[in-house]
Amino acid sequence: MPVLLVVLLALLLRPVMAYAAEPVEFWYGHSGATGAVIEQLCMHFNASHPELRPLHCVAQGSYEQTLQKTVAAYRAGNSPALVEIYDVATLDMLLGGASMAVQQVMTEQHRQDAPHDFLPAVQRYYADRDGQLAAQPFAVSTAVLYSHRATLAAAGISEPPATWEAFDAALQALKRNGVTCPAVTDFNPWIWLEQSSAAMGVPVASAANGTEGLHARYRFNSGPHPRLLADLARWVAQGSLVNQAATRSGRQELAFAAGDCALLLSSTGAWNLLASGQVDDVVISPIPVYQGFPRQATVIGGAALWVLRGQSPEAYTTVAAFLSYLRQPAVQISFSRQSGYLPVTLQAAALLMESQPADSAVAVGLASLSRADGQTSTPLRTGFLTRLRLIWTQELQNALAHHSSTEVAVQQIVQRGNDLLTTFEETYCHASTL
Amino acid sequence: MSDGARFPQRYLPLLFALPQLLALLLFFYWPSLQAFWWSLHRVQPFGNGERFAGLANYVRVLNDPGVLAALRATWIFSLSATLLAMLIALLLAACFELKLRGRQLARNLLIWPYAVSGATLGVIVQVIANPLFGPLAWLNHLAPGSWAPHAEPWQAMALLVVGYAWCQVPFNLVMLIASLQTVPEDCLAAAALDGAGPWRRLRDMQLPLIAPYLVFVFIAGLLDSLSNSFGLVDTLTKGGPGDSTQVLAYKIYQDGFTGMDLAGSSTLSVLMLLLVGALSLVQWRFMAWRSRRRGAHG
Repeated sequence: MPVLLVVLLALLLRPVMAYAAEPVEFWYGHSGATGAVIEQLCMHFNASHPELRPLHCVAQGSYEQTLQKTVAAYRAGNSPALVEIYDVATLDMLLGGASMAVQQVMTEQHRQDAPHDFLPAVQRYYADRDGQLAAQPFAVSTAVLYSHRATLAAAGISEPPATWEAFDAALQALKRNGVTCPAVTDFNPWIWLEQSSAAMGVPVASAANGTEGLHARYRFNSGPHPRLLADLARWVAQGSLVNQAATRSGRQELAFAAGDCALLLSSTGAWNLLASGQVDDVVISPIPVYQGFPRQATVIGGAALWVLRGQSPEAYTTVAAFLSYLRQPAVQISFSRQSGYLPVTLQAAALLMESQPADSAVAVGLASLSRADGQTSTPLRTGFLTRLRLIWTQELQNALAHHSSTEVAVQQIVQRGNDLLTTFEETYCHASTL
Repeated sequence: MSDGARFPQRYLPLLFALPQLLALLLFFYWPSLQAFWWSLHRVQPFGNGERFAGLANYVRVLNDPGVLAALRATWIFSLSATLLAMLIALLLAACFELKLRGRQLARNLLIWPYAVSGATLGVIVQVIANPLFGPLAWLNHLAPGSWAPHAEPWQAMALLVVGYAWCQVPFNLVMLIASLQTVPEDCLAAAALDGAGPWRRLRDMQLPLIAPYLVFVFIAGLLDSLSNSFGLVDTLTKGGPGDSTQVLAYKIYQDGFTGMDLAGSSTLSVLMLLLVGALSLVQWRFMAWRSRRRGAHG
């Protein structure tokens, strides 16, 4: 009988005991080398904070899969306390009512002493309408141009192209010099539409790129974008801009790293992948702009950490401590060196720049994020952005396959994108803040 | 003797069937009802602020050029893959009827591909189709750029069709071998004595006699291709190039899971459900008609 009582008591107390030891969930969207670095961060954090409930870091696959699982978990009332969400879902996160502003969490948890001198471009991207930091920037990158100096030099080009006109001339020169893959691309609209428009100071959408409200509509059917798409189609037709699927590796970064292709437009975060190949002669420069468009800042991409609602106060204590830990310059510098992502605070950026050459991916990326006078570009904040990116790629590839006009394609992209924005506005019509 | 088993208790059979019924309810009917509910609402991914929208989602989905492209791709893919899988299976089944040596072994070997999942097949076909080092790369040596399934819509669709048909041949083969065995042996022997060769016997005797089975295999294959193509599309073409291979099942996934348009994706699901329902109805009607006809003649 006493044995039975003990067993029953243990069963009754089990939920309480389990709750006391229950770790705080953090979901992230990386695998491979970056995933291993994040796992290390978690281990170091847990080891250095034994007094807190431990952080349980779980890789959930890609960014897309992490978002899908977060939505499902939140709807089921079983969400993680902290989650890494990619940039395109920022508006859904801001309006969805599932998250708490990071700044609010840090204040409530008395973590005001944590570094909060975020880079202006980063602060602007993740700030809500009141300027409050909604999410903590984490895996931050921007777009740059990678060039093989020796291949360019052999074709008589001394500098990486700074304008699209020079890019065009470089492609022709490389082609004439027998280079079979002058430039490689994955047709990513993040580069060709969003970053190139930001670098030229041309908004992609009205209402300050959507930051002023859900009434924003796309307007990149005017301005330099149709011209860029027409040029892109011409380069593809000439064989001077090669689809990554037509390269030996099937991935643009690997094709460039292997020396198969001379030019690559990609994220600063690609540097770590490139560093595994022939990169001694690689030169990194800002992405090109058209002549007549003064160079403006690029915008950030990547992912940020969002604090979800519905957790216990102890969970938020752990989350705030972890966010504070991630802001430490030493942690950021280590993460940046190992993952290739940019540091997010001014202090960490300054420290990292001291030890980096001025033409490194991190240095060029950080410099690209602000103009000479310190001004940053307005981030694109529109709904169903993932679907717009897919439509952009589909319509462009349809035009390339059928040799039809890219002018018609861009009109179609804008029209379909605006239909989506109307739906998004109707879906979130009650939401007052962005 | 009774023509069926009967339980003395009234509700006992229901109790035995309950686990299966619950599983059906939970994993099939409930999600279908949820999809129908969402198709009538504006749905935010995180579930706050759901609002009734009437048929607005249906109007916008049916006016979406992407949906029309998906319907076109689905139609081309399903019809081509189903017909190709039937044709190959029919030829193979007819060969087995010739009673060639080793047919038992060949029959077993030909069933195996049915166990290969669509996703695995996609990866295999992708390697085979690689324009630089796959078996078809010689086309690019002859005429550069002539084999480019990543850029040429018809080539990507052809890969999908061939890949899917390869997976479906075993099922069709089993069905058609069985159907060919229903053709009376003495009729075929008599035809052979009269000088009809294998091709003539197939065309004039076997095919007309197995026509109902062919219709069944065709409609079942068509229904299967609507939903079972997802794994293959995801690993082989991801709907591209452009939207040329974005079949309906894949668009539903992309809009809902990647694009976070739960209402639009659910609306498409309901439309696909109706399409599958209509096809099933055709199949039932045909089987009922066939059964009545046989009854009348019998």
